[in-house]
Amino acid sequence: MMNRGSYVVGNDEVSPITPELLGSLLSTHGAALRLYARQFLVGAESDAAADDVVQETLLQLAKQRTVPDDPPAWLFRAVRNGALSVRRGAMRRRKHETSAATERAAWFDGRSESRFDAQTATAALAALPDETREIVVAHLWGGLTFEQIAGVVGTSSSTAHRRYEEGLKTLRLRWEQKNVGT
Amino acid sequence: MSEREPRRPDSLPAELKGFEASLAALVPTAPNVDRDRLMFEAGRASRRSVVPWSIALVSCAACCAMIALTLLPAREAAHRDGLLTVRGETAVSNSIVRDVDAAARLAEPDSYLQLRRHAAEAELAAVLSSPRAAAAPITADRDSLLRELLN
Repeated sequence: MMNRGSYVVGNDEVSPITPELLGSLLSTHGAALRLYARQFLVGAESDAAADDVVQETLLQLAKQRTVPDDPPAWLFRAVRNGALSVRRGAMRRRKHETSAATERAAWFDGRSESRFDAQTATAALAALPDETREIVVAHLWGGLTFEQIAGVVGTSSSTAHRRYEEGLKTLRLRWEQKNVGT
Repeated sequence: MSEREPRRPDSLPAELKGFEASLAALVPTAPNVDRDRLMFEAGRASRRSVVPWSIALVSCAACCAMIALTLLPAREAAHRDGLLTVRGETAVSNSIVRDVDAAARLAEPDSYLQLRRHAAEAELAAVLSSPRAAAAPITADRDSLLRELLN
């Protein structure tokens, strides 16, 4: 799990969003937020749409009067809402398109020092059910705890953890099958 | 009861931990966002917190000014109307009006001061027109005598 910065913001603190805080959140969570948005989206313009969702979410945060209690969880929740909204709109527009027309760009940097290549990992993740994939992404790359994820996706933390574990098992199985097949 | 320690609800089986670490090594693609616009919005938002205080201060000052503008002319008009009435009806000098410091109240025909002033004037008129006054003229002017009576 990636190490994420912490933000000490209490309930009684009424500090506005400063450029420094926004820059810090963008640097720390930007890539994970984009991945989180991207994994909800399908279609050729999904990369640009994911960028737009992240941009709009950060702008939305900048316009908040006070810093949310848990900025990372707030960001992931807002990105989730934005991405699902975009996806609903895209699905209405593309109801006649076939899924074959939706090419997936890699969700990961190809220069990552992982034993998985970006394209394979993207395909494996994309094949997971939505409710499992979003939890894997939020925890593994977003660094959210299962309590935070539970708040974001509207489930219990134990369910979030169970889905996360199931997701990892499924990914590992697919990875092993792919390696056996090749 | 089992001797085996149960796995924590948020922990993973050992066989998945290595796989998890390998996956976590993948780096998500950075977002292509307009950082300048974000920073601008954040800067604007951080300044916005000062605005409510400014608005409150300006509103308060505006309210005070409005109240002052509403009340001052009314007060001046009351004084002015009182003085004019006194001048028109009784020819009592401004100095007498100021002495009694009741210009507004003097304007009221039924007020005690008005009645008192009428009585004093009548009394003064009677004294000045009496044969005794003709025999021994009073050197003081009418206003001075009236002031003496009212005081």
